[in-house]
Amino acid sequence: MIKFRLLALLLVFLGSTASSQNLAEISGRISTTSGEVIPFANVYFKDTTIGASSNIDGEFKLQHTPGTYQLVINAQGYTSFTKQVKLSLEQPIQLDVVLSEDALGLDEVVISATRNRVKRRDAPVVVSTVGPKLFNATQSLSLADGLQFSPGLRVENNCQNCGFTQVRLNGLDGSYTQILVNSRPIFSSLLGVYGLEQIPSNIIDRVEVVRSGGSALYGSNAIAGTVNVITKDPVLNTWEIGSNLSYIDGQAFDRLLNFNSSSVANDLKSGVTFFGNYRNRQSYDANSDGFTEIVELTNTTFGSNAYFKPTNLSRIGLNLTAIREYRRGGDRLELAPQFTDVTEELDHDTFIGGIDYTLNSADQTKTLELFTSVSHTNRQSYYGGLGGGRTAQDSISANNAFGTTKDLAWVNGAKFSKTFDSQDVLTTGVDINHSRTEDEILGYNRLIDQEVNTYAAYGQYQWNINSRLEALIGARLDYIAVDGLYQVETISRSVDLDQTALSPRLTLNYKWTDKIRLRAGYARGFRAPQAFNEDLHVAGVGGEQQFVILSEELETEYSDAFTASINLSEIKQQQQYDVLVEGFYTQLNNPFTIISTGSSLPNGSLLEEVRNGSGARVYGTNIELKYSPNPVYRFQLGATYQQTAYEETQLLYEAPPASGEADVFIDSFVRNPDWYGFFTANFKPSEAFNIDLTGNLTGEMEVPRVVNSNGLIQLNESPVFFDLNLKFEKHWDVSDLFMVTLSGGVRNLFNSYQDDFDRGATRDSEYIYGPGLPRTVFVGLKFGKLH
Amino acid sequence: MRLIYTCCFLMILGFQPKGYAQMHWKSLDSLQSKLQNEEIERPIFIFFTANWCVYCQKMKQAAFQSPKLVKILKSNYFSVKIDAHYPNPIQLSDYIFKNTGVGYYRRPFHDLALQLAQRSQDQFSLPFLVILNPDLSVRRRAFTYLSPKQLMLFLQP
Repeated sequence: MIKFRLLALLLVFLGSTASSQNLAEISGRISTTSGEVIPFANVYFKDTTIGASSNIDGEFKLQHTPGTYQLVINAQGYTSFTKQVKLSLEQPIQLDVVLSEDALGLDEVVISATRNRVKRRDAPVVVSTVGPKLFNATQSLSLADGLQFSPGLRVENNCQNCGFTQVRLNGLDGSYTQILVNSRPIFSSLLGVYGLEQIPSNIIDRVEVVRSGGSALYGSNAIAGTVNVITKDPVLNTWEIGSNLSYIDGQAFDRLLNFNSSSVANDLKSGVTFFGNYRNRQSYDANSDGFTEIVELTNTTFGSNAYFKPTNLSRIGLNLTAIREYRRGGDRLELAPQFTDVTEELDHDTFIGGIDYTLNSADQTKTLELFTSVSHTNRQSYYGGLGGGRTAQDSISANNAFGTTKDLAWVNGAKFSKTFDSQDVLTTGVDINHSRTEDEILGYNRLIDQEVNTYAAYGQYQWNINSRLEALIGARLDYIAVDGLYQVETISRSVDLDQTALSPRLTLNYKWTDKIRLRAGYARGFRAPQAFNEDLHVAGVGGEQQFVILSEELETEYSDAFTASINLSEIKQQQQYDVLVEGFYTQLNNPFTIISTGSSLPNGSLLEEVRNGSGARVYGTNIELKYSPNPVYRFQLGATYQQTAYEETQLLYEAPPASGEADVFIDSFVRNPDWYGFFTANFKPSEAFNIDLTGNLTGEMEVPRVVNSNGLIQLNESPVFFDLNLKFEKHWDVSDLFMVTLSGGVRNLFNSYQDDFDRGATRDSEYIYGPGLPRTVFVGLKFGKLH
Repeated sequence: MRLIYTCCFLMILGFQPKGYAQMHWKSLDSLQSKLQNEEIERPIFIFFTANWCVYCQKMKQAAFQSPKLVKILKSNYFSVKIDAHYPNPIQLSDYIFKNTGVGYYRRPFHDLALQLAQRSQDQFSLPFLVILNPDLSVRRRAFTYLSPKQLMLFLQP
């Protein structure tokens, strides 16, 4: 077996398989119209493996069994030559060939590395990529930081006491976006709440954002789209240690230490990467009221990704990650939580592990992928405090605000894809997901005990209708069973449903010219009633706790999303540009809407209820421009204009009876600016030095603010924010094995930051909007082997 | 948990492959001048590389650090490593190859690399290895990453 392989390899190199006895010969010389010879031209018989290169004097000789063949000669910069020749043993052929210059073939030579990937320009759906350069340019410490520089995407901090961030894609909040890691939905709802800040940026190779239409492949919760975090696959033996020190507004330090190291065998058949990250951020108080606006955070993450290729056609991958994160916000962080006025303290212990297996067919047209992945989080929480009062009752409540949460997500899947001769691609698969969440805070009689099981099958066909038009037709059938019990104080609700939902998707991709591509698509999505990430979060508002509970008879939410886009891109010598204009329209039916019912709970806590709203639309346009005149300068600009509207005026605050207050209604989504955008500019005069200028611009938006202990909401308009970041980076190659990179700069140079935070123990901790950091100075040092 | 990971990390740091040898490449200038004076009697081994080509770097770490291979490449071949983006002309015997894309393309490839690597279907890719006979006819070519074992086979006479 081994000997055969060696022999086969040798024959590949030699390029010829027959013995010379009964072979006919053709030879000759290749030259240009001006009489110069052409060395190393490629000479071969079409549709055979017989070929050779001409030598330095332009001479070639080929031998093959007698017969009629097409002789083809190719040479760089010259038009190709084809001629039918008849080889016979008696008469060897002598052929002198003259090639003429090919002036039109001046396109840049396209590289194909040892791996294939679909060129971004040709992808059937619009994919926006946030690559390692962008994470680096913005000094992003975690996934959350880097995502702000993708069109249509906003990342915002929703809570001053806990720092809960969410991703808003095309105007829809975090629970409408599915976060994937290596195309797998291993994020449970709980992990989704804090997970964005927990994934360190040093293991991320790139993030692919697909706006809308994710449900057809990924199921429920992908109505707005998908954010796919793709981790690095190692090739070289390297190691790297990095550290970053940030100083927030001259008050709080944020320290980060990370490392990664890889080792890959010489035959590329096995490899492993170890990575780790330690982050320690002090809390930050913006308005000196003694209460945090940015929480204290410590995160320790360790993980490893390993792979093994038992044969040339198969691969087994293993990944393990352990995350330990502690957050604390509120006041007097040095005291135990029950002695403070307000504290949100969270201690997450998360373990994620997965195995995947890929098998390719010998002709590379079929692929089978199997995977299983588990993520388990054990969370200790504290949501409470004395709330500004000092009675015995306050103290008892404060002592009982400790809680525990256990969250398990187990995803399994099988996927099969086949590429046909026509380059059509069929993808089919099956997903079986199980998730279990148990969240208990005895002091508030608060309980969420939910189990969600999903069984789904999906199929997608990428159809090349002709050389210009391609269609992507797909559908996913989900059977989802939700069994949940939700309690807070005296209120108890349950959800016990099973439901089947079909989510079809259709995308058309038309190559109008070599430079212009038109795309249009429709996708259906759904969300089954269940506790989502925001619902597991308890806010501290007006000195009281604010809980979220599902209403009775909550029904499934459906969405219809339409997108259309035009993409213009060109590479012209050293210049490259890419323009994308996209329009989107999403109709939500029975959307889950959070309505505040004020202080309707016996002990004065506030209650928000998730109910089905009347219907809503989100529509707008995204523009993305990328331009690079030469390798030294690179510019990128993204802008979004969007409108949101409820079909009927939507209730936001339901005044408790006999409070004398009026209900509060809204016409459009809160926390949604009509326009927002980002830009990046990169100046790289040499391999050793570069400057990055990046910024985010956010338009005005309506932000709800709780103004009294009943929970009454006032709608405030936030100002325009412009946050600009500047970074310098210098690189030294000390030797082939050791490199050092020093970086430094400022984030939010103009200190464009919220200036009307609520004060004191009775503040609305959710009244936080705008850029996540005030002016912050940072410096970073990285060293290692090859980065 | 932390201890296990620290140990693994240190293990990788200190890990050295079995045997380590430094590859000695002949310079491009000596290739050109020796060819002019017809002083080369051994076959010529050319390794085309670029700084963005990860698999080329891997070959430098693996195959080109193997003591056996380094010895064969030093004694049986005239071994040269050429940057595929080399901006200046290269002269092999009577023929001068240029890099016509310099200042024009972002990744301008040298004509020597492009012409030697021509194939009927696939486009230019790296790593690219070629063995030329002393008379400068093409003996053998390889277009993918070669492990030490595979390079050993490639170098068999």
